[in-house]
Amino acid sequence: MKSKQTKKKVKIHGVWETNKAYLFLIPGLFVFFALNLYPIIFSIYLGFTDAYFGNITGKYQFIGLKNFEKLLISGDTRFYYILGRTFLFLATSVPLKVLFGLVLAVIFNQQMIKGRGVFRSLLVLPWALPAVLSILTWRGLFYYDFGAINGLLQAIGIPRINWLNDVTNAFITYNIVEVWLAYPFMMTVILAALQSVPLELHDSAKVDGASTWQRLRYITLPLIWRPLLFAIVLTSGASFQAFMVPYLLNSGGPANQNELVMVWGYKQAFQNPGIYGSMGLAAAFFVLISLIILAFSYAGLKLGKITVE
Amino acid sequence: MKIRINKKLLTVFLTFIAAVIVAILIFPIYVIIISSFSPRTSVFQPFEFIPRETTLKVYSDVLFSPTSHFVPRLVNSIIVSLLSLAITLILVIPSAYAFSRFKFAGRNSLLYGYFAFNQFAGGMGLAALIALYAILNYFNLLNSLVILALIYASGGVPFNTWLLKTYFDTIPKDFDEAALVDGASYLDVMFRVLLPIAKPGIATVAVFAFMGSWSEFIIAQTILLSDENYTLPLELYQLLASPATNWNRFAATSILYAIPIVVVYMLAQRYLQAGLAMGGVKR
Repeated sequence: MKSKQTKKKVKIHGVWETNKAYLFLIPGLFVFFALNLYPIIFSIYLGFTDAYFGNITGKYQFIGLKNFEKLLISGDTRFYYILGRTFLFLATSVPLKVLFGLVLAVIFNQQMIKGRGVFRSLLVLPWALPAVLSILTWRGLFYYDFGAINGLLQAIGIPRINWLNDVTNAFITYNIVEVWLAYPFMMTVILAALQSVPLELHDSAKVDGASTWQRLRYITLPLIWRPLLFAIVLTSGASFQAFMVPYLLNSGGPANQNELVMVWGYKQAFQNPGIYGSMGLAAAFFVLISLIILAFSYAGLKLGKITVE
Repeated sequence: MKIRINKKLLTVFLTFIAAVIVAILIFPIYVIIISSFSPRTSVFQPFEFIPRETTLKVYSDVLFSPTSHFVPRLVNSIIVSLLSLAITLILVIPSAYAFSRFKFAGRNSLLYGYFAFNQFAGGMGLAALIALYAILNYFNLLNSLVILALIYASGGVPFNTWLLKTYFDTIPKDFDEAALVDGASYLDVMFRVLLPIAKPGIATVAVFAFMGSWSEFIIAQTILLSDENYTLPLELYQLLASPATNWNRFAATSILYAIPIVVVYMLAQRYLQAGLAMGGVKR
């Protein structure tokens, strides 16, 4: 009897086949389904309703495609402006992040720099700190009256800059903070790629008389292109979904002019308690936005070439 | 000879440039540390980049002053983070064990679903929050620290399951087999065979769960309705609502808030690196 049971448990291709597996899976699956998957599906449904704070307890109505029509066609909401602003942020912050990461990686890959280890561990500090802390600290640094940055500017004779209450300047601060938050990741990815480039290639190119720029352009870049592209796609997705940076710095201001998609959706849903249908409209908005994010994720998946074992 | 001097000069020059770059980049961290020890009573006094005096008064204010909310918020943060850590382990360890050791119908699609969710989750996170708010409101579960911890743990299930599953995969199946042949149950195998060997992987998951909950802001802000349930990230946000009077307190609170993260990171660094390296998960 005992030997029979053992036989049943004996592996097939190194893994045991049994329905008991489901017992082990159920706790994780159940909680994941209840608090993550189901809310996503439910929020898609909410996009077709007139839900808002006043009727969210279950008395909201199905209103068909009205929310989508309101967003896309009737123009009494700012869908295209918000989307444009977000793509502008994408277009400015992503090249800045890549360029900054690349420059830092190239500099801190120089053998000649003393104490590179110490420098690098200091440089990745922004990675270790909670984003909420870093972003709020930056907000303090950017204050007009007493922020350290204006203090520094005044000390060298430059007039104070209104960082957070000017549309263009606030947009610039978003970029600065976004780059600051992202450079440790970009730099680390690029450094790892750079270190996989064989030194012999550089040596032989040097012997052949190639300049530093030529070696960067014709040896390094082609070899690090793939990991770089992967990092670019990931960081583009992050820029598109930027929420904490604009929200914590000045809530998408001044006068809501710098609201990016995530900020607009969140504020629409949760900071318009009196406005009829605001949660439904925000849910519909997120459905549209998710389609764009899906494209990013798909590109990332393709580039990452990650397969299930 | 000429080349050698140039090389030395170049080293000094490059190291100097590198030091300047590092100094600029960690400037915000420097400012926050300086501010937390500053004796300035008003932020309108000019900022001293190299402080002439330092004081611990801001810290004692934050920790002991009756007007400070730091200690109750800290307690909330600790409750939520530890609870989320415990729930994460309860949910993730059996899942990872099942994915690593069993073959069953739907295994690959589930794994792939978890992975796809990971890629996609950020975007739907805020959308799901609207529905989650509606659901919790319906069941009268808003404003609960336990629910918040459960939400945090649940959001980490896909990533952490993958992480631990990949770690379990590196443990030879001969160990399980030997125990099973000796008559051990699957639960025995999980608890007595895999868990002791997989400590670095489990430590990694635990650290991710703790740090994730400790740092989360927006779900907490949405779900927690009354001040007395607020966690530290919300306290930081509230302090900056009146920055002119609270800046130094904000700085000291930030430092205190960051200490557990730094300590946990340093304590677990060895485990973390081993766990991530063996798990082969890039993040």
